[in-house]
Amino acid sequence: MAKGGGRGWAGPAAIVLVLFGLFAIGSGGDGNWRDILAGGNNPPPREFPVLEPSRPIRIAVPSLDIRAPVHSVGLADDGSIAVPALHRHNQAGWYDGGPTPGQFGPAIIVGHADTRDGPSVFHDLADIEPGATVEVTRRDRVVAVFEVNSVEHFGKDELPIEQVYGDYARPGLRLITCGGEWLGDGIGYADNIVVFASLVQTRDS
Amino acid sequence: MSVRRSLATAGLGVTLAVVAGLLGAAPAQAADVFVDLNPSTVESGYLVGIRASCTDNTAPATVESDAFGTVEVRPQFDELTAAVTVPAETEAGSYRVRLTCPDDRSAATTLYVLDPTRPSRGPATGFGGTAGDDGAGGLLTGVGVIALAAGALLGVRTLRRRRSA
Repeated sequence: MAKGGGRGWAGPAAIVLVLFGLFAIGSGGDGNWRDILAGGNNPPPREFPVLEPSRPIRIAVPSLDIRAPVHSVGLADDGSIAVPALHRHNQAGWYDGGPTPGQFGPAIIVGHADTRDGPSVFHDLADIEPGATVEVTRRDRVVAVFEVNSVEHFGKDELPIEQVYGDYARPGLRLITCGGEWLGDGIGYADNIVVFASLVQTRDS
Repeated sequence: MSVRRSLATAGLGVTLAVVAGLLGAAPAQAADVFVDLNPSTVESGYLVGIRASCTDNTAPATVESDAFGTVEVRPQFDELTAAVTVPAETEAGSYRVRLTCPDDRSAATTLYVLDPTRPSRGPATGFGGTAGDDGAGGLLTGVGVIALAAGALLGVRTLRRRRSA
């Protein structure tokens, strides 16, 4: 009886204690080793991911079947963001004066809506739905996954500069193309279509 | 025999748990020393929030960086905080930010500074190839309305002239 009773509690208790011990070592020790390796900086996690800088090389919008290479663009002479050259109308341009996708702040990627005789990479951008994902692959092979918050149309001279370029509260993405009424050569389209998106996830490519 | 073995196992478990507890307690404190920036990427001339922690968060500590100089982080909500403006003349680049605690423990992170260039207007991202008939259609409608009005006016005038003649 005593034997049976002893076997009854000691065995499970031992297993529980060993498991607890392993768990405590695992959870307690983890921070310690990482802490030592990382040179002593291990802040608590945020509500969203944040990445170190790395240039974007590819963009994909699965819901619109958009897949395109990305290269860098700067500013044009008139102070607007430069756009990819006409022969690269099926590529997107990342504004290299701003943050890279995954850093705090709005990463800006522009693309043509059309050429003189046909559609280009961002032709269907206005059809994107809030909640859709935009995946940006970076040179460090990390894929930054953004979720679309809203799609908005602005007159070219009425772009809300701070809203589009000035929000550094979290890592974001702005996809910009043209839309609205065609005003003719030399003027272009009346509006810009701006997709606002936020970083929600990261993974290795 | 088997009771003894069970007890031995239990004893081992207790030992492991105690060792784990001891191991876990020490690193938990070590991991508490950190410095974090919000945002960690900023345009020069803008504000950065600093959140830090030392072993003892009741006394202030020092955070320094070439990007903004030296600031004191002060106790707030069991952590150490401060807000600092990155001077507008700070050049774009990455800057090391170092926390030094009163007990000489330290932690470091990186601040990325960008030039605050604000593109002036929206980019020119279209050449009109798929603009459809919207523009031309609108123009045609406008021309049509003018032609119709002119025609009507002319017609009325002609009729009046004929009558009065």
